[in-house]
This record gives sequence, C-alpha cells and structure tokens, in this order.
Amino acid sequence: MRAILKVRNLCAAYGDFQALFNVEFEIAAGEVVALIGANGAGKSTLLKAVTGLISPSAGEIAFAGESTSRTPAHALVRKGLAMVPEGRRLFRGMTVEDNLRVCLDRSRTDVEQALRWTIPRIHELFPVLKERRRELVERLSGGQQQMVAVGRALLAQPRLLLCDEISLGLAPKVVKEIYQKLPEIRAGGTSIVIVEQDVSLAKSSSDRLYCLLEGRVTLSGPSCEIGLEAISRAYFGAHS
Amino acid sequence: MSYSNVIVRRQTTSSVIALAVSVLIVTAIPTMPYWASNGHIRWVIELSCLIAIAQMWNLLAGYAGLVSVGQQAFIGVGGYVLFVFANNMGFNPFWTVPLSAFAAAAVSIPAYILLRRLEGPYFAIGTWVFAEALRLLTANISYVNGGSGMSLRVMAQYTPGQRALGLTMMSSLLLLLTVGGSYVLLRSRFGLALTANRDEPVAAASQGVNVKRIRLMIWMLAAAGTGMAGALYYMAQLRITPDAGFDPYWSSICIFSVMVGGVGRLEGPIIGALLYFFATRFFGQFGATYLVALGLLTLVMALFSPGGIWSLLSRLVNWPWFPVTRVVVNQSQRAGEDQECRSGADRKRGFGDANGVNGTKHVDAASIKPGRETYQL
Amino acid sequence: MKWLDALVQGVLLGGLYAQYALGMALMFGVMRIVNIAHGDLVILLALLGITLVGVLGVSPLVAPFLLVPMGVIIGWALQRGVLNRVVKADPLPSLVATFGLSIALQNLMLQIWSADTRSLSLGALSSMSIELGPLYVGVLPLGVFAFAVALTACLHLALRYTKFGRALRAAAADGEAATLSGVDAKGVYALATAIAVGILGAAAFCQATRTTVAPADGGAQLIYAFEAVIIGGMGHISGAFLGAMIVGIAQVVGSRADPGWGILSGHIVFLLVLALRPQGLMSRT
Repeated sequence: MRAILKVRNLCAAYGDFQALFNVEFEIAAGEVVALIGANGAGKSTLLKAVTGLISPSAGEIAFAGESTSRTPAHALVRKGLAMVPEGRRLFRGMTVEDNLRVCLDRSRTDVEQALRWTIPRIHELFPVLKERRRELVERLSGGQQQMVAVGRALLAQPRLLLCDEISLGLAPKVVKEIYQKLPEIRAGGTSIVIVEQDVSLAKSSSDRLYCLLEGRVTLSGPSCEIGLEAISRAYFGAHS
Repeated sequence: MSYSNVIVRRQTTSSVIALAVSVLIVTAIPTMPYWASNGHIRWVIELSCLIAIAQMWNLLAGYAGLVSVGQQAFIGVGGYVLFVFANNMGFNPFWTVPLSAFAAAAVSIPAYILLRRLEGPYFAIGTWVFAEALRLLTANISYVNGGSGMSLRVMAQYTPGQRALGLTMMSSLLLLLTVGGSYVLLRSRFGLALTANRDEPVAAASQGVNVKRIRLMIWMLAAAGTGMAGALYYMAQLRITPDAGFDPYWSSICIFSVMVGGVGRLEGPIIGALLYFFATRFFGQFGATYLVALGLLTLVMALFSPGGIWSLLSRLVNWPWFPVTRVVVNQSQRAGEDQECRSGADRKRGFGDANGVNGTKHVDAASIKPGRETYQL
Repeated sequence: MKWLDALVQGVLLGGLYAQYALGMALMFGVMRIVNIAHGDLVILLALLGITLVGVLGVSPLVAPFLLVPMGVIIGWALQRGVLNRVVKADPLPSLVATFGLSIALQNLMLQIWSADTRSLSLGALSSMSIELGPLYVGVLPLGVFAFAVALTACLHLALRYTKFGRALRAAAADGEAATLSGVDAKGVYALATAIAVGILGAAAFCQATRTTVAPADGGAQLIYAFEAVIIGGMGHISGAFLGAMIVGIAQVVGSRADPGWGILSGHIVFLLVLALRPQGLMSRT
C-alpha cells in the first residue's frame, strides 16, 4: 500500500535535551495506527515534528510523497495533515460554529465533493454539536469540546488525522462514543494516528501499533499479533 | 554520586578581583574632593546615579519580570522629597538623601496595588501613566512652586568642599546600596527564590515561593534605589522641575543601559551605564542623531542579542564579576560541567527559543500557557 | 450649559482617541504586544501627510488616501521585520524593541521636521460649525467622531463575520492551535498590525486637521490610547471606543474646571478605573 507518511531516522531535541532518537515511523493510506508510550516517551514530540510545529535536528519526514522540511505547519494543514491537539486547544471566546469554520475556511480544495467534510456532516457525526452550535465552546462539557476538536480537524479534509490523547480526562462512555466514529472517518480514505494512554483501547482500535520508550521505537507491528506482555516490555523497558 | 564529591562554588578568581576593585572604588570616591577636579567629581556622581537606576531596573526586568517605563516617577519623588524636606522644612539635605529612598518606596506601594493586575506590556505603560500623573500633579502644587520648579537654596550654607564631600559620600553609599545590595540580595535565600521565580514561575510557585510578595518587594526596593539616585542627582544639580524630574527619558536611560549591557546579570547594567555615560560625553553633541542611533541600537539588541554585551562577552571569556549562581561542581567530571551549568543558566533567561529548552515536560507545561486569559475581540 | 458643552466636546475628542485605541486593542488582543511607538507612528504619518500635501500641491482632503496605504505598508513591514521576532510570552523583548524604535523615530522626526508645531488646514471647513440645540459643534470634530464610530463598527463586524476575523480571533485565542487549523499566524499578525497602523493613517489626518502635531507628541497619544483600552477592557474593540470617549470627556471636563487639570483628569479617571474595576468597563469577567 502507498505510504501517506514516512518518517526516517528522526531526531529531535529541545536545547540539550534530546527527545527523539532515530525514529522510523510509517503510515499507509487508510490505515489506523496507534502510538503508545509512557509520559515523556516522545509521542507528542513526534507528532509536533510531523505537523511542523518543531523542526527536527536530523532525519526526514515525507507526507503524501513530499518532504515536509520546507513546509510551514499551517501549509501542511492545507495539504491534508490535521491534528487534534492534546488538551483540545479550542478557540475560547468563539462559538462552536466559528471554531469549526476556522478550519473549513482554509481547507484542502482538491477533495471530491462527496467525500468532503462539511459542517452538516460534522453535525451528523456528532448531533449534539448542532444543538449547541451557537454557544461559546468553553460552555460545553469536556466530551463535547473533544467532539468540536475532532470536527475542527476533520473540516481540514485530512488525508491523515493525528489524534493526541483524545480520551484524556473524559468519561469512558464519551470515549467510546468518539472512538466509534473512527471507522466512519477512515471510510473516507483518511489515515489515522491515535496517541493513547489506554493500551487495550489503542490495540483494539488500530491496525498497527508503535511503542515509544525514552525517544526510541521499542516495538512496532500489527496490533492483533502483538501480545500485551510484549507491549508491557516495550512500554516500561526491558528491566521491568 | 555521593555528596562528598560535590562542591558548591560561589566565587571565582575574576569575582574576587572584581570584589576587591569594587571595595576600592567605593572607598576611593569619598576621597575625591582631596585629589580630583570638580568636573570629575560631577562625572562620578552622575555615573553613580546612572549605574544605580540601571541596576534597579535590572532587578525589576531581569529578576522580577516587571518591565517599567515609569521609573522617572521615583526619580522625581526622590528629588522632590529632598527639596521639600531640605528647603521647605529645614532638614539636613545630606541626611535627606537616604530618607528620600523610603519616600519613593512608600509611593511605589499604591502604584503597585493599582497596576499589578495589568498584564506584562500593559503594566509597563501603566507605570508611565502613573509617572505622568505625578508629574502633572507636581506641576499643579504651588507648595513646590508648580511647573517652574524649585532651587535647593539651603546648599548655600555649605562650603564647596563640604558639598563635594557630602555628595561623594552619598554616591558611594548609593553604589554600595544598589549594586552591593543587589549582589547580597541575589546571593541570599531570597535571591534563590527570585531566580527560581524568573526561570520557572509555575514551578517556583508550587515549591512555596510567594511570587506576588517577591514582586512587590523587588518593586519597592527598586523604587527606593531609584528614588535615592534621584535625590542625589538633583542635589548635585541644585534645581528640579516636574518636567525634568519626571522626564520619561530617565526610563530610556534605564532600558538602554540594561538591554545593551545585559539584562538579568549584575554586570550588565554597569557596563551599559558606563557605555551610555561615555557615549553621551562623546556623541551627545550630535543631539538627535545620537539619540536615533541609541534607539536603533536598543532595537537591534532586543532583536538579535537579548542578553546584551555581557552575554556576548561571556561567550568569549567566562569571567564573572558578581557571580550570584551556585555552581555545582562534580569532582569526577569537572571542567566541562562547570561550563554547562553556566551556559544553561544564561540560556534560560526568559528569551529562550519558542520551543522551550528544558525537555519535553517543560514544553508541555508551556503549551498550557499559565495565567493566560482569553480576550474577546 | 458649560458642562453640557464640555461633555459634547469630550465625546468628540474621544472620537480622535478611539482611532488610536482601536489599533492598540487589536494588536494587544491578537499578539499580547504593545507597540510603544504607536503614538510616534501617528505623528510620523501626520507630518508625512502635511509635507506631502505641501510638496504635491494637492487638496488636504487627498491626504488620508495617501496616509492609510502608507500606514498599512509601514505596519506590515513593522510586523514582518521587527515584531514577528518578538511575539513571545515574555513581554520584555517586544517592549524594548518598540521602545528603541520610538526613541529613534521621535528623534528622526525632530531632525527632519524640527520641534515646530504643525497642522493641516482644511480652509473654511476647519472653522465651520453647526448648531445643535443650544450648542455649536464643529463640523470637522463631528466628522472625525462619525468616522471613529464607523471604523469601530466595521472592525467589530469584520472580526465577527469574515474569514479573516475568524482567523484573527483564533490566533488570538491560541496561536498554536490556529496554526494547526491552517491559519498562518505570522501572516495574520502582519495583517493585524497593517490594519492597526493603517487606521493610524486616518487618525493622523484627523489629528493634523483637528489640532496640531509636533515630533515629541507621540508619547502622549500612546498614553491616551492605552488609557482608553484599559478603561474599556483589554482587547475589546467596542470597549476601546467607550474608553476613548471616557478619556476625552475626562480631559475636556477637567480642563474646563482648571486648565492645568485637563490631561491629569484623564490619568486620574484611568487610575480610578484600575482601582475600582481593573478588568475594564466592558469586560464580562
């Protein structure tokens, strides 16, 4: 299958602190990949490097066959790389509708009409957002805010959607509701990366999985073939 | 690594020399009336005032995160308190100089209470408004002769020699209190809290550092030092007007000296003040052109070398004059580490790159943007 | 009657201050930056306008059509060349950079135009006034006020209902999240500053025709704009307008009471608002 994202030999550092060491990471078109690892393992750094928020110190990132090293972060979004950031990061003081439209205003144009995400389609996906579309986002519950964040990212018409800890701080029922939508999102041809603390949820909702430990990939492979014990070793390190 | 391997080093050869030179200068200044010309004495008095106000501004901006463009408020208050107490009330003018420091500190409290809610840049402009309000108020008070200002007539009762001695002694005292005081302050426990608060305000607060109280303390101390400098300066001038005493140009001097010299280091303001003083002596004749250059230099330094001349120098040679950091030296891996610690401290000075420099944890914390409110446009 | 007249004159003066304040509110709202050279840019544009009208020999009424584009270009260049490098959580670099710029600009203007006070005469229009009930109101100040109202309304609507407005509000709320939504934050900042300084182009025309300008006046204009913004509530467009009215009224009423107390009254009202309602009059929190 054609790769939508290829990360080769990626290193990233904050000053003297190196957060990623020679990371290899690849996503095929239409695939759902889970990225797991303890806090500080480098998951967020990897996503930030991929989206162009930080520039890597070494290595190569290619999105849809093109190197992204010279593309600014906002331009990558218009090429179809969207992220649901950790902590949702909605635009406070703006309505649900305005939050969604910010992304729609400058989304990728080369998408077939039938596959385009529109605000009515987001309302179909998360009906509660239709009811509350004129309210300020900070008035919404955590789960509803997360739906806005997912919807906002979808309106960028992503080929690849990165979801950073979307279950964090949400009730299990809400998490389930959001995760149930992943197949529908994927059906439009969007590849998805989920960064997830809940390992079994990550495993069950993905095709493949990567585990990071202290900035290195310690495990990768098809989710259904990897046992929990192997994950545990890769997650906590060999000595545990 | 056992603790016996760790040495906490707080002095270097260069700092011992600097300390000795400083002590020599401070003791030599009061002897100047016996060997120096009147012109040079004036130079030293003015320079002491410049170094003092720059050092105080450095405490504010470099350590307490308070940027003020209203330091002229305290210069003016210091000057006017001297003139009122000495002229109108008959106090000994020399003893009134330290007293004016207390007056400036007292005035700084209501200013802080009013302005503390303003965020960063707005706080700065707020201090300017406060100073302007004081200037206009002073110009409207007939007791201090309104806008036409006052002359320090009581000085006529002293001989020129007595005046020179008094002024030089006050200059020494001013330097001792502002530069020496900052040094002692930053090396104390309080100084550690201050540095912690500057580098990691959120973390410091969670470790029990009372950020609000620290800021108020520094604000008051800086006002006191600036007020004393104002009193000394106008005692030497013998004349004060609201437009001169509360001139925003005083803040320009502070900003130029500290930003060009080096913010957040005790050496920076001294270098900056010296540079400003001599540049003005040599190029002041070019008037506006000189000030255009001064303004542009400040702009360029802010953009390209936020650490000022001192940080450029530090890259070449590491000879601190007034080290306030504790350098932990691990004996087993000594030489290199020493350097690392110091450069780390330099880099952490507020202007670090946008990505943060302290590892992933820090970056995550930074992305939360503590204390940031949303404004609705 | 004296006080009613003072009130009306204050509101009209506020119309001038509102034009300075709008740009400042916009820039602070989006970037948390205060451009200390804000007032100096008004003076620069006004002096440029006066000189251009003289050199080109055109009607003074042409001036705003020259000054607004010039302001836009200056603002854009200022953001791209200087301010985009200092948009950070730490307020020090941006303050110091614009402070240096302010000093350089002021002294440059002093050299080019000397310390003289200048103004732009609109001939008969300058002294024309209309009778409003018991009061006589100058046509020119009324025009300046009407323009400020229109400007505030336009800016408010543009922020609320246009693509650019949404992008700007998004960048103001969370720059990184805006970038992740495809918004070019630095580009938005450049446009915001271009608009802010473009407005100053119009303000410069209003100032030069209504009163006078001299190279050293910039600091005062900055302070009035600042007071308006804080009184209204930081970052609110309509708040800045309201704040400007209050500063204008305080200054005129104060100076009618005692000529020495005009500007001081503005400062006192500002300090009172800080003491009693530090979040500003229009702020919801």
